Amino acid sequence: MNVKILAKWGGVPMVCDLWRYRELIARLTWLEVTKRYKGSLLGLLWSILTPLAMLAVYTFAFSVILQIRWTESGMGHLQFAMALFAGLIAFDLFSRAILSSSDIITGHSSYVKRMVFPTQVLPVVGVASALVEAVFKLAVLLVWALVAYGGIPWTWVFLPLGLLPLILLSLGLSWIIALAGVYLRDLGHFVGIAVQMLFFLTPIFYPLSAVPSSLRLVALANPLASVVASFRDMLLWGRTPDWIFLVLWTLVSLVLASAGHALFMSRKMDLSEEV
Amino acid sequence: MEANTDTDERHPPGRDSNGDVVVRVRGLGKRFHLQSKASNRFSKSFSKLLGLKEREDGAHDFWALRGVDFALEKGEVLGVIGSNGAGKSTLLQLVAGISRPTEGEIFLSGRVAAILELGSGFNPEFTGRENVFINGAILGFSRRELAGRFGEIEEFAEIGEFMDQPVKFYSNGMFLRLSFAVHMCLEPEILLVDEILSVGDIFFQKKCLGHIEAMMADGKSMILVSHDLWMIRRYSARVLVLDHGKPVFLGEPLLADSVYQELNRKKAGERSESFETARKISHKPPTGFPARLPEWPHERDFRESFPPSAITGDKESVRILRVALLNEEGRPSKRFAVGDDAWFYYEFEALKDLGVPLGGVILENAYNVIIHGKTSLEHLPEAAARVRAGARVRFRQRIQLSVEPGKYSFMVGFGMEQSGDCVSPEKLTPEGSLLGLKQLLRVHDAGSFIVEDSDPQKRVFLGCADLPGNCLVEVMAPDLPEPLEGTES
Repeated sequence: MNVKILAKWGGVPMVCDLWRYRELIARLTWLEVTKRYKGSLLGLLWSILTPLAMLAVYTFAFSVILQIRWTESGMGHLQFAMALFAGLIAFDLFSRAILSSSDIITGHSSYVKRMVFPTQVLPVVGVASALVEAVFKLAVLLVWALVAYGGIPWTWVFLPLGLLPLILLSLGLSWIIALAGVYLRDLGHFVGIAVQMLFFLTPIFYPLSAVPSSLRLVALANPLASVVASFRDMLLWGRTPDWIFLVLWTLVSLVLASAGHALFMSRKMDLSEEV
Repeated sequence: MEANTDTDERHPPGRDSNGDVVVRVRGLGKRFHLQSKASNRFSKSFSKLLGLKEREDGAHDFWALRGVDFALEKGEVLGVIGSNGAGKSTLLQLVAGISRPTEGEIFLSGRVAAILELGSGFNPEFTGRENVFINGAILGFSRRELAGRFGEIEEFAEIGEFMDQPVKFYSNGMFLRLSFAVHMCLEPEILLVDEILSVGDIFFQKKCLGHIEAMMADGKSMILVSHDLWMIRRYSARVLVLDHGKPVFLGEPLLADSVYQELNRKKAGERSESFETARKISHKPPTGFPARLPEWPHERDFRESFPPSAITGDKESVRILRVALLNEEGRPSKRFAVGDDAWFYYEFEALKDLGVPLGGVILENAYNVIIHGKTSLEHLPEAAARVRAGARVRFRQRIQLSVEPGKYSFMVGFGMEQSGDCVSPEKLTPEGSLLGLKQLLRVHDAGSFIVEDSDPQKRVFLGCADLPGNCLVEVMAPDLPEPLEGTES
């Protein structure tokens, strides 16, 4: 019995479901990613060019003009742009997935209403395509770091571990928001505001250490804060992530994702009436 | 097992009907809440989101479907007919698992694919090819399996280079072609088709039908919703008639046809005139029907013995006593001229207390094609009443043989309206009373006859049957030719 409950909340049904539809998820994600560049001359190349331009602009504006230093690192101000960019990669992955999920069901009404379609796949595709974008950006960051500093910290290898809680968190919230968005059409606007607020509450423009120590615990309650911090640790400072926080957040996100999945599955048959 | 299922020659009663059931539906019902005023929409959305039971305010509820029972066997096609809003599409959505039943249960064994609406299942932004792969992935095919079948799908669809265009540029016909190609070639065990075949051209339709036949032979099952009664008759062993969400009839296609047409007639009557007058009109004997009942023939004109193998159905409830076929002069006959009236007399004995009795004759030609079939439901009996055990029921049925010359056989059938409380013709008319229509007994090869051309010169039609209609001719005189230019000079 205990094993059963553990398996359920540990995401076994969710993982099975995702595995079963892996081909469908992969195909829809690929179509979703390429759709954005359909008809454009450079096509997928934009996925590289856009983040590259962003990184260049950040470097110029913050590091060259404003000469802001990232207080955590003892290194030059050139790193500010990279620290900012690393934080943005994590946050964008989350926010893209969340923002797309509120109308992902209503936006695919033909899948929901008129087809034998596993609708739980739709929020997953939202997360997966955000993940693909993030991977492109990470590649840009990697190359940038190689060129600028002639090397990258070995802690890059932990990156997948850092991404895991972020993906699970996005998945869980996407399922919940996708479901709720069908019933509460105003949810999209609310989520938009919430994501904006979260952007400034998350240490993206500032290091976690800049938060007054009295508020440090409160800041860490924001799951994105520790994810962003561990991203920087791994990608830039060559530090191993804070394992306790990482494991903790992975477990919490796993439970959230399984709950989101279970909730969505329990209500997915009602969706065709509401769309 | 199932209360409303009748026996059919294609499903001999001896066969184990439990082993091969691929879809079983019990007490299926779907209730919709109609959208009420906007003011309480918010609280409603919340309670819906949380899955709370709403206050039962029956006023806004409406049952799109209720009380449906059936079992679909391997290799069987179940036809579903009914007018708009009868619940046909709701039924398919429930079976497909797209929508959750309010009550009842559905048991499925096998992969289900549904072609529900034109263009459904396709993302308009993606190309035909991409959509094929998405659909394949939904049905659980791997990329490699799909790549192997893609040629077959492409060939079936015959849409050429449109395969690589976004499907939003497709015509209705192309949508249909691709839908069918995908679902046929990906071989689901259970295929649900909602009223879309009529869009395609006849050749594609023939191709689809050929494929459907192959699928059936292959043991695949299908639920076919259509307004095309011919198609339903051609492919379905059994037909479910729905009316306002209620199952009105489940059984033999021809009988289902007449139930459906009767329903439509009533609806038309309700629309145009008052219900009463409509009923009176439908009660009028059809033209050509003698004012008085024709005399019951002499005993010696009847056939009274039938091999047990020729009788199917519920032999415990009803028994065939005699059948006779007479010509217009009231003499037994086996030869008729085209256009002659044939009189069928048949008598059954009730072995149990039964509902309001119903009889019918089905004519088949030498190729086992049903040329015609009608029940006494078409000519509502003047004294429809329940029959008690031991009662005998006599039917006199006239059929004008406006059919092509050839050999014909006929069957007679007996059924009843079993809802019980219909004891007078007045009560038989409201729609609800058709609910319990059930075929009890069928006598195959009850007799045969030959139709001949009395005078081939006089035959005025081609094909297997004459249909009522007329044709008017108007001759437009040719314009007088204008004088040729230059003739004057």
